[in-house]
Amino acid sequence: MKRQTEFKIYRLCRDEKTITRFKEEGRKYQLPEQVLITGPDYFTFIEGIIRDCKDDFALLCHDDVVVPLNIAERVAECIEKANQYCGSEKWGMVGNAGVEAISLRTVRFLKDPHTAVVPYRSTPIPVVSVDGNVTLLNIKNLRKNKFELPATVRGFHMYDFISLVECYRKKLLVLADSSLYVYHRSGGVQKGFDEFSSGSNFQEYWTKNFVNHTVHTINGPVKILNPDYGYLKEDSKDHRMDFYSLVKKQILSIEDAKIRPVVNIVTKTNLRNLNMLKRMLQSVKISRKVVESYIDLKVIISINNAGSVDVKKAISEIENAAGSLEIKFIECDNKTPMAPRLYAVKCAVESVKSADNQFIWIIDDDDFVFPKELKTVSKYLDSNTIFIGQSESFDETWSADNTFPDISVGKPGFYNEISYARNYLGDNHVPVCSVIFPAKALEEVFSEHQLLGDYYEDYAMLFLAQIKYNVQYLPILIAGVSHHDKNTVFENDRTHWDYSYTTFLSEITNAGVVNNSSFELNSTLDNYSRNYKSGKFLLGLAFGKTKTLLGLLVRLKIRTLYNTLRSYR
Amino acid sequence: MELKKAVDVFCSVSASDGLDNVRNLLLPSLERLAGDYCTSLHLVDFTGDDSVTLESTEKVSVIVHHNSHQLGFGAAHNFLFDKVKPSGFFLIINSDISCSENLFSELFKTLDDREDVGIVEGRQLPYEHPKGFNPLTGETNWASGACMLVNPVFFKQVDGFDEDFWMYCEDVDLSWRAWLNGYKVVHSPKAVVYHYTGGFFEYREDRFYLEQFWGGVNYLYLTYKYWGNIHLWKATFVLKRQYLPKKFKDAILAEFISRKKNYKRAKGYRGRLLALRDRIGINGFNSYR
Repeated sequence: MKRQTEFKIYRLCRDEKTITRFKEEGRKYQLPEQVLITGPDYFTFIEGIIRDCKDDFALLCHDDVVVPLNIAERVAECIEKANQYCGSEKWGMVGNAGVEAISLRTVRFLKDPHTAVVPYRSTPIPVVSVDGNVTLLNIKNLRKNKFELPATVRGFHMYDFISLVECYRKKLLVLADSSLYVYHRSGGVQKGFDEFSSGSNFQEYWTKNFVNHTVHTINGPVKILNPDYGYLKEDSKDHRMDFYSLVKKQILSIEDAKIRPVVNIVTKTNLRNLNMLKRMLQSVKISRKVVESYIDLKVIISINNAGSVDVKKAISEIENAAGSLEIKFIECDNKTPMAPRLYAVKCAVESVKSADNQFIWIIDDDDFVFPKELKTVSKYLDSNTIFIGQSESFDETWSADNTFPDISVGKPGFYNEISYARNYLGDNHVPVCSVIFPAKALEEVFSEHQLLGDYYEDYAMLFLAQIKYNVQYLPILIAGVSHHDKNTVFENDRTHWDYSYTTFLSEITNAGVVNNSSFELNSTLDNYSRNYKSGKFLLGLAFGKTKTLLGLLVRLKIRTLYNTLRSYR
Repeated sequence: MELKKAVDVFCSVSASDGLDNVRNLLLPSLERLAGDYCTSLHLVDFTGDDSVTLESTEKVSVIVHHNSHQLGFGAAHNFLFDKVKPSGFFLIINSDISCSENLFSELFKTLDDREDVGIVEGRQLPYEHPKGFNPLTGETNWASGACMLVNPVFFKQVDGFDEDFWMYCEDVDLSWRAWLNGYKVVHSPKAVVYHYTGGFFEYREDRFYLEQFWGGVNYLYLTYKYWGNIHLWKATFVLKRQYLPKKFKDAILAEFISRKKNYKRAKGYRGRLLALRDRIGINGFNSYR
């Protein structure tokens, strides 16, 4: 059954001719009722809608936006998603493009002269700038929270951004969502935007309310020309806010309608790094207290390949160190062709209750957890989304007696979540401790695929999981990674890595992930295994993938050469 | 029967999330400390409405001292020192820190009942403070105020922190005055505290923070205080060469100039300064020779 919601489309048209055209199109395509006016500036137009609209929602569209025929259904979906994400009382506007809060990266769900990439997302994204081509106003909430636009700023630019700012000031979130996808036939007028944003009206409006000297908008950063640093002085009476902290506060205030997420920290260990493992548990203990009202952190220690280690004694030692922290121990008895480390993860995944609020976070025994931003992470945990955060690497020297390193030197920027896709080319930009999987995603990976690699098993898991799940990557520091003498990173003999990488490539090739435009989501283990054994992957790799990769490389080289030549002119 | 050792812990709850940090990070970790210690956590509350309240725990007594207006870091700890009058070494610690279980035992082990030690500094992890120390003696030119065990005799003798710093660098100044008054400043590498919430990764570039502003102002003040006008111009030159917006640098300079008339020079230290320059490297920031 199609979802319907009472709303109207509002368009501020450039002239009467455009109004006539829209009326004809509306009749012809049976579009929902449109309010078409011409004359006022955009700020006055929005004020009029909030004052006069008889519905709870209003969809504002530019007059060069092509609205899809099923817009009513899309709007209903958008409202449902926004309500589900943050609660029906918490949001003021939704658009289809903007600047993502936290990462400050542009997100677009539209086709316009700048882009045509439309990734679908099952959840909306909080934004700090929204594009006004299409915006859904939650009239009821705007009125209830006494939303007002500043009287000093008028015109045809930045009404979208200023509306967003005023929403946040009234404790209402602004979101971007793929359900409002449209075709926008304009790339915007950058010159007009630049003039407006550097003009005294906007500059004064901003400086009066906020301390930030750079404003992140979808049209690019706006510099505040005469910043006032009064907020930094002793005994300052300056009550202006940091806009981006205000937004973050608003995101953190989202009360989860859903049940508190349970994040199962899975640590695979052969019990040979107990001092490091204790450091990891110490960090979990600290984190657990910090985020207890946001996330339920649990620990599963999956023991593999323990060899001659006295497991009972080691468990008792770990339990002593863990104190009140409850740990589930799994002793793996691997009789499969899987690598021990991977099998350990599989056992832990199988031990987790399958539910929407269950997540898996694989933290190796020599890694550790950063507690502070986990509460922000909790707002992005979603049963259909793989969360990728930031990790920090540390060059460390350890002596066996301590539960902390003798020397630890941070290497900021060693890992970078934005480059996560390059993991699949063999570069390590996102270690597995940067990733929080929905439990069912890993469950499906293990039930549908036979993973035979070893060192690249983490990338394989992520790659296969993301076929069906959204990926949300944000520069939020969640884990520390130790580089020390026992670390595989420093192994000179890379045979295992090369072997593993080839296995990983063969697996994804045979899973049809790379060469099929339509991936068979129900591929079975039998199919997979058959393909693997037949050596089909080698043929595919040799004749198909190599050709494609070479083609890409050649194109890249030509482009680089072209750019170099251009720069010499 | 051996009596428990009493330790006073001072913490200034200035930031809005400071009390949450004490509740979730600092206090639980003090509760977990190993050894026979009787710990009193002294908080200073600036709200003026007595809104900062925190229950004592089984092992830690929490005492909130109220003040009607906001104090800088140094002034807050001087205020606590006057109120508490600690008889033994007391700990100054940030609210966003979690102590390792052996913190006290390691700090006191490093101290080893030596009366010539003015400050023992804990080690911050995972981000170590970017400065050196002598690996044999632990001597360091300055100790971070994020976690320092302070000798009350020395603290009283030097009149505590210099309140003119208001915020940032007052710990460097206190450490230097320790050295200049015949006390040692020692780093204790096994006295670990976890400062996950340190500022290394959370400063955005679209605004400035107190640390950036006061770090600049107090860099000039510290130079002026110990080396006078002759070196001040050099410090000003260094500041002007920093990759920062000109208007921000101008604001730092303006703040320094407006406060300069009230600043007090450190006098009578010239000989010791020259002697110590070779020993512990009091010759500027983050350099150790």
